[in-house]
Amino acid sequence: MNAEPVAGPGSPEREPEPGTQPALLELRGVRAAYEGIEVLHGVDLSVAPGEVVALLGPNGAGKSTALKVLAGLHPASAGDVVLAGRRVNGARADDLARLGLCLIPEGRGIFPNLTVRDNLWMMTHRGVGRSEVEEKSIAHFPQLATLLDRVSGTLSGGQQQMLAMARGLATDPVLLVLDELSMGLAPLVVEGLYEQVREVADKGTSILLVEQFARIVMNVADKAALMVQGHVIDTGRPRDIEAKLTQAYLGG
Amino acid sequence: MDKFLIFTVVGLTLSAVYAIVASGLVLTYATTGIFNFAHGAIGMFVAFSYWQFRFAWGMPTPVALVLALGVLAPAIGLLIDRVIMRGLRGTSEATRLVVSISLLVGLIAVANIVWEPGNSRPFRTFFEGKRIDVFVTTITYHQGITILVAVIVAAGLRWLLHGTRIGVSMRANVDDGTLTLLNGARPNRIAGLSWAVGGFLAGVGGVLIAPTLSLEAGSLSLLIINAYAAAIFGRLRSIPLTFVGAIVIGLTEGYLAGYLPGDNRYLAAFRPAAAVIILFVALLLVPNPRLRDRTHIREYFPAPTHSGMAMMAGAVVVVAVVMVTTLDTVSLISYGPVFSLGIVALSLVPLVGFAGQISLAQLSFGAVGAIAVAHHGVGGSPLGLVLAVVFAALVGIVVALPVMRLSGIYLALATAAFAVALDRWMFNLPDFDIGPVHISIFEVGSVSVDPVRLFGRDFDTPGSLMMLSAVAFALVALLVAALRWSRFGRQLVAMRDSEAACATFGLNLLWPRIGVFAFSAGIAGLGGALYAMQLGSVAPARFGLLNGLPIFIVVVVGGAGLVGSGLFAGSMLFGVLPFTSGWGPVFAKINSMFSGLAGIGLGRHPSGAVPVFSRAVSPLRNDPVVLAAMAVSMAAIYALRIAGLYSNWPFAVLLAAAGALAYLAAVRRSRATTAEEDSGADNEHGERAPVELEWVGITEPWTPAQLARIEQALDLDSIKAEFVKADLDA
Amino acid sequence: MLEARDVSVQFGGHQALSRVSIAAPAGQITGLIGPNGAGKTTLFNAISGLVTPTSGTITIDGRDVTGTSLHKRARCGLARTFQQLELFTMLTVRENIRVAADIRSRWARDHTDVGALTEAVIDRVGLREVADERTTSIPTGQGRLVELGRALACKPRVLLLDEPASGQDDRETERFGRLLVEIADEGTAVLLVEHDMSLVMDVCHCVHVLDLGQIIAVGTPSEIQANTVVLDAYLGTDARSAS
Repeated sequence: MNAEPVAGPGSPEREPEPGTQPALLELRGVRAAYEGIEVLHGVDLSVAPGEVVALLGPNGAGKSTALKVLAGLHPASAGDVVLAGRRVNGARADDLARLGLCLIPEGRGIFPNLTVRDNLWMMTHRGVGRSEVEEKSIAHFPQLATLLDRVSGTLSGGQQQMLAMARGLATDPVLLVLDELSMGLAPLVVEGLYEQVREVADKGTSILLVEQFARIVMNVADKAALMVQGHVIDTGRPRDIEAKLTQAYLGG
Repeated sequence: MDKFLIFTVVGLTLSAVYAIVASGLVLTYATTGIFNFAHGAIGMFVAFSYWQFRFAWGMPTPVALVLALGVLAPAIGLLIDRVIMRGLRGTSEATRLVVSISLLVGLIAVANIVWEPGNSRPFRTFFEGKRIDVFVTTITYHQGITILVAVIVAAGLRWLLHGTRIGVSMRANVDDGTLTLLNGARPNRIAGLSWAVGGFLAGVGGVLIAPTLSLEAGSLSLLIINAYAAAIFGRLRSIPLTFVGAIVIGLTEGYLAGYLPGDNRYLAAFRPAAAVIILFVALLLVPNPRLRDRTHIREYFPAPTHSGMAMMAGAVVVVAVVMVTTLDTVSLISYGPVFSLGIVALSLVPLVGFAGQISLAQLSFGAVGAIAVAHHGVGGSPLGLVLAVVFAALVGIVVALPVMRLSGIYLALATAAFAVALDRWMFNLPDFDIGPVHISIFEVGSVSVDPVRLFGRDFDTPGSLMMLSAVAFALVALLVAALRWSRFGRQLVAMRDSEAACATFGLNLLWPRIGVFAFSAGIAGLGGALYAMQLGSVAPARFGLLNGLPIFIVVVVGGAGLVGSGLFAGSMLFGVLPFTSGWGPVFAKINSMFSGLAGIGLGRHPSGAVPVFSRAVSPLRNDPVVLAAMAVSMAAIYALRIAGLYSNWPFAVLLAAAGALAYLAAVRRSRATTAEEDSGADNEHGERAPVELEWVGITEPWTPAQLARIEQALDLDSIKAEFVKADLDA
Repeated sequence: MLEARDVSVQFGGHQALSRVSIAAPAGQITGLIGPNGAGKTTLFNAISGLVTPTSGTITIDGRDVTGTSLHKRARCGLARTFQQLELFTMLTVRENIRVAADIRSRWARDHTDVGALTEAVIDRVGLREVADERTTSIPTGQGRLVELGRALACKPRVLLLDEPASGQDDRETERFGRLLVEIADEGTAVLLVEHDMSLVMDVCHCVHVLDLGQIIAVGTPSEIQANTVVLDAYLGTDARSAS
């Protein structure tokens, strides 16, 4: 472990990077472990402002863990997470969320026993008002207007995912992080959701997305990173990465 | 008709109190995952405080109400959250349970210190004497207010949980805690608010119910068991269903009060137990929980070693011999329970420690043993002791059968309900017949117990009974250790970790679960029987739920999976504490809080206190030369005491001095050898124990690794993050 | 040997499995692959009895075990491992295996030397060096072997393995593959869920692909690798064709 001097009060650590346009999000040599078993062996990844980055890779490669680390849900055992030029290792998830890091987790990112309206209410941190969130969400997904008083757990999978996505669309996040948006959904529904992602991306929101179904995101992403067994083994244009996918997923 | 309405009002008033209290319980459990056994004790404490403000100090009612309910009750809730519960995140359910039970015991102890029990404390109802006619019946103002408050609480909770952002966050937190974090909600604020509201509701319930009952700490705290039943109706999640449950229970109690024939001795005692029986039934209706799969258990209990067990059994007998030959009769009587109730403590080791089950009813099984020996041990017949074990085991099976599929808090609640039902109802029944079987319990009062006659010898003196208990304790300790070494013991320990895995090997989980319950109840029965013999005459009050809780807490604090913790609990609760209490009232007061405080501290040392002791004495234990020298010198000191050279005080001091010297010598010698070998101090687990953080830099050199450990322990990373956050906000 | 026919599982409104049929014949290793959330572990849970299927039947050796409890299925010769390790942390590696062997000797009324069986299993899965360690002090890869050892100590005729190679390095995985082949050769039916495709492709006789709760392809490893439907399931349908 690093034996660097402990930062005292009044001297928070900064990561000055003179001269270069700083990345919005940067992971530098991030390692993480569950119960002492390391699953990330030094991950490097960066998202520039306005960029859409796809993190691809087979099951068990450590993609979701990487997202957990950067969202403050799992501690990094080594390495740095830098958000907007500042080191945020160990920051709490709720603080990061309030700073505009919006992670929509794997599965359904909703509260199943709350109504749609209450779910939308939960998204109103960062000063975006309640009615504003509702308006914006309905603008993106007109279907939600008729569902406002339904208990969200009774919605279909696609509707639930729309509701989850609404948080990314209506709260003007600094960085939108999507984990396996397509999990368990029919291809057509996934298609529709990614159209919305593309729309947000076009407006200039930075997006980091993890997707197992790599091909879907090829049109959305500006950059793709391929992750295998806890390492990012390749980063580049989506087309270049696509060629290496079959090998990574189904073996030779 | 008139009577019906009167008792409907009585029932609804009770319902209102239960609903208020239970909804607070559900709120804290649902949002924070901690089932607060001390919820009722908070209500009790607030009720006492209100009495102090209003009646002892004569404050006007509104001021006293604001102080007690507006300030004190939420403050207690917040304080519990900040100081105690926040440190418990990530601990096992059992640990959290013990901490909240300890809080219950601790609050009762504090209340008994501040408000000495026995003094009469008149507590008037609100608008005493005033009543109002409604339709064809009259209700008192107090009843009316109580029902009205419940309605307001229901409306208020509905508004909080559905009409405010933080309330919605609380419900969201129940659904998915991680996702609430990702939405930027503040977990500490959510927990703090729900504890504050919980404390407030407990207080409101306490203040409303206390005037209609006597102001007594224990019974007020336990009254809440009735409210627990309502909470179980709501599956500990739904507040509307909790209200429904409260109405059912309150009305049942009301009608029982009105219509139960008061002259029937069998049924008279049934009323106070009704709610508990409803709780028991409600628990049976709880849907089948998923099989326990591997939970993250921080606790680890090594199997006892053969030499360790031999040493412990020997030491117990030797200590008993010394006590019997040096102490006077009064002391022998007062320290009698060290070994007899120590056996009850020991009975928790296989159940809680090996199998990971929970029972708060061990002392009740002890009572069964006491009853058996009272009726079947007449004239010293050893059959009494045998039947004590058998009956207690049978009752254990009867309890176990319906509740075996439950675990965690549900099992704790079920066994607590059983203990209270015995205490309030069964133990107060007169003799009765079931077919040809004549059943005799405490004969509505107390029963006398004859000392046993074994090997042609009567155990009729306090000394001989202590010897008998000590030998029984040593044998039971060996039995428990043998269980742990056996195939069955391995299975229990395995089931504790993963029931699912055991079932996939083809194990029918039912039998081991029931088996260990019966085994443990049988041991408790033996302990209870020996305890009863020492007392000579026993009444049910000795075996109440609240008397049993400290035993449970201290065994868990000692390290529930270690045979030594049975000895630890016995000697601590019935030896050391009574001894030091003799030094003065201050000590007595501090001691009364011991088990509460010890349990609350458990969160930090989930593997218990016994390993800490045993690690501390390991240099002595592993040094035969010093050990032998110590034994010889202690024997000499003892011989001189027996010869009458000095009294007990110098004797105790000399013994302590001999022990301390031997310990120092052993530590010195072991340092010397380790320095020679230059290999570090290996403890018994074969791994180098990390030095306590406080000693880093003193007994261990500074290294980057140690620095990192300290950083981690002090959570410096998160502090750093706070600064970063402040920076980003700016 | 093991046969699941038209098994459906529903959680609330979510159809986790719809009419899944799969067979694991004796002496063969049958692979089950599919993307995350496809329902592989749910299928394992339905077969071993942790989850009750809403419809369909499960037979072991021709005996219908649908709806029976876990331990009864185990007594029919079914053993499994868990994706999330379910080790006994208070016990050593040896004792972990011994517990399984003890339980089996009891219900099988097989009083051959349980200790000897335990030692044989330890040697077989290669845990001799760590036999006296507690299971919390060994790496996950070896934890997987402990689970396999416990399953073998039950002398199963059907063996369900849920991601047994995760946490193992390449060398361990290769050794593990050889062991699996050996076990199958003795006549055990092995059903293998695994993400390590090279292991699946190396050892399986037949591979089933599960996606969105349905079997979308069955075939030999080479057929599966060439199957475009499978590739689509893993990589998603081609977004370009839709836009």
